[in-house]
Parts: sequence; structure tokens; C-alpha cells
Amino acid sequence: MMPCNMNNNRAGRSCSCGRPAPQPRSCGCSNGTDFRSRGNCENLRGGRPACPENQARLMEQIQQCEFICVDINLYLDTHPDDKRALSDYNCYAEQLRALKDMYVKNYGPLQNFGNSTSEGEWKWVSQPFPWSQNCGCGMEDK
Amino acid sequence: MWIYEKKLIYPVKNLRPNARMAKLIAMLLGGPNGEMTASTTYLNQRYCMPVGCVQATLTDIGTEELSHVEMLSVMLKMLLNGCSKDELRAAGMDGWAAEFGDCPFPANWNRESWTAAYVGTTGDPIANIANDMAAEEKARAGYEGVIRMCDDPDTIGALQFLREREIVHYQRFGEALQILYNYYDSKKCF
Repeated sequence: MMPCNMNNNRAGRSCSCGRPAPQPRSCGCSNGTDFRSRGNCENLRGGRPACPENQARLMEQIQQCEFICVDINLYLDTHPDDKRALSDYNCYAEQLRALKDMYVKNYGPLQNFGNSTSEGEWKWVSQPFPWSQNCGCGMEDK
Repeated sequence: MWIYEKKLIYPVKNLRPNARMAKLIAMLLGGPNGEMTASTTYLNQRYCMPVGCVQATLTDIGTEELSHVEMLSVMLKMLLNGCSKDELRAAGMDGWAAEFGDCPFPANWNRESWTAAYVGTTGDPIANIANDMAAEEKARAGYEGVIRMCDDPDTIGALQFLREREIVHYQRFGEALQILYNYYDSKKCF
């Protein structure tokens, strides 16, 4: 379950759904945030805390959150007047942005062409692509 | 334009070398009803659509299909990576491996290359969306056929995800078709 207000991560920002903002809860790491607490836009079953100390887990959470966004996006394309779906979309889009910000800050760019920054060095070439031997997909074990 | 994002739409993990399964996955990628065909068709059809809802639907589903192309390509690579000569020969994939190694290539299981003749685009919006609904059902049937031939739970999980997406896309295209009918019914010329 995910909260629908991310202003603990992005000061001054809140999503447009008007639901109460949850208090951030630590996941045990130094600066992670538990997105499971008290959400109304809840769809993530078995969601684990977003935690920058575990790249694979954070990536999995991004994939879950983005999948929700993809699915609501397609629904909105043919139901553009559904305000509840729109509110959910905006809510999850905010959460997705916060998760991706956390990932980019800790591990390197997710997107090319100026849509992500790369701190210190050009990590676009050093962080693995999804088909790389060291991407965590299990190919390195063969 | 498109922006690449360095991740898969679904976490494909731990696929063991399996030349027979690679052969079937190749069909889902580069066969007549594969993801290459779907993404190319939908993204082509966008340009002749008269309403924003349908332009958006084709743009977004076409983009999602590109992520499915990537997912199947990674699966194909994982399944071919580390296959023995004997396995490749037994599956009839030795020719593929000789030519492409473990690199994915848009071709059918019998190495029939993907062709633009598969692309179901006409200049007629209604015909296009009707084609897309059929394409999604054919793709769903294709996934079910491959899942029936599959024993590995990780491969089945990924294929089930893709199969379910075809069902959602079919639903959205059905709604898009109704939107087109409404548009033509209400269009007034003065």
C-alpha cells in the first residue's frame, strides 16, 4: 500500500487527490521511506519499503509503481472524464517520480537525453543495462 | 520522440539455458502476431486517427509493446546464453546460434525474418482498430500456446504477464472502436 502524498520526499509538493498525507516511516536504513504506510491509492500488494541501500528492491518497487501508472494511463486514454482514475493516476505518478529520484540519486541515470542526472561520473555506461551479465537477472550464475 | 529507460517493464530473472523455449519465444517476438508487429502497427496507425483518445491509446499501447519487445529480447538472450551445441542442434536452433549467437533477432521460430507485410495498417481508422483487436487476441492465443509448452515457472510468470497485457489492450481497443463510432455518428458538416 502506498501513501498518496509524497511531500516527505519532495518538499512543498503534494498530489492532487486531497487525501491526508501519511507520516513517513523509516524502513530501517539511513534514508529510506516506507511507502506501505496508510495509503488510499492502494494497489501494491506485498510492497516492501523503498530503500536506497538495496538497488534491486528499489528497482522492483519502481517496476510495480510504474506498472500501475501504465495500466491507469491506458484506462484514462479511453475514459478521460473519470476523475477518480485521474486522481489515482496523479497520485501514483508522484510516487513514481519520488522513487525514481531516489534511484537516480543513489545509483545513476535511469533515462537518457537529459531526463536523468549523473552525479560525479557518467554512470549511464557503468550501471548495467537490463541484459548485462551483472544486472542481477541471474545470468552471471550460469 | 522516445526516451529510453534503463529497466524492464517486468523483472525477468533466472532463466536457464533452454534452446527449445528460445525457439518459441522467437515467434512471440518476431512472428506474424508477435510484439514487433504489434508495436510497429500501432505506432504507424496513430497518424490517421481523427480523435485524441484513439491517438493516445495507439501511442501508449504501441509504446508498451516496445517494452514487450525488449522483455522478450532479454528472455531470448537468457535462454540462448550458455546452451550447449547438442541442445541447440536438438532444438533446431544451431543455425540461429551460428548466425546470431545469443543475440535476439526478429524472426519466427523457423528463422523466417520479420517482415513489414505483417503490419496491419490501412488508411481507415475503423478497419485499423478492428485489426488491432484481432491482433491482441491472436497474440493472447500465441502466449497461451507457448505457456502450455513451458515447464519453467520463471518463464511462465513472464509469459503470463505478457498474456494478461494482451487482454487489457483488447479491452482498450474495443473502447477506442466505440469512441470512433461515436465520433463518426456525431460528426456534423456545414
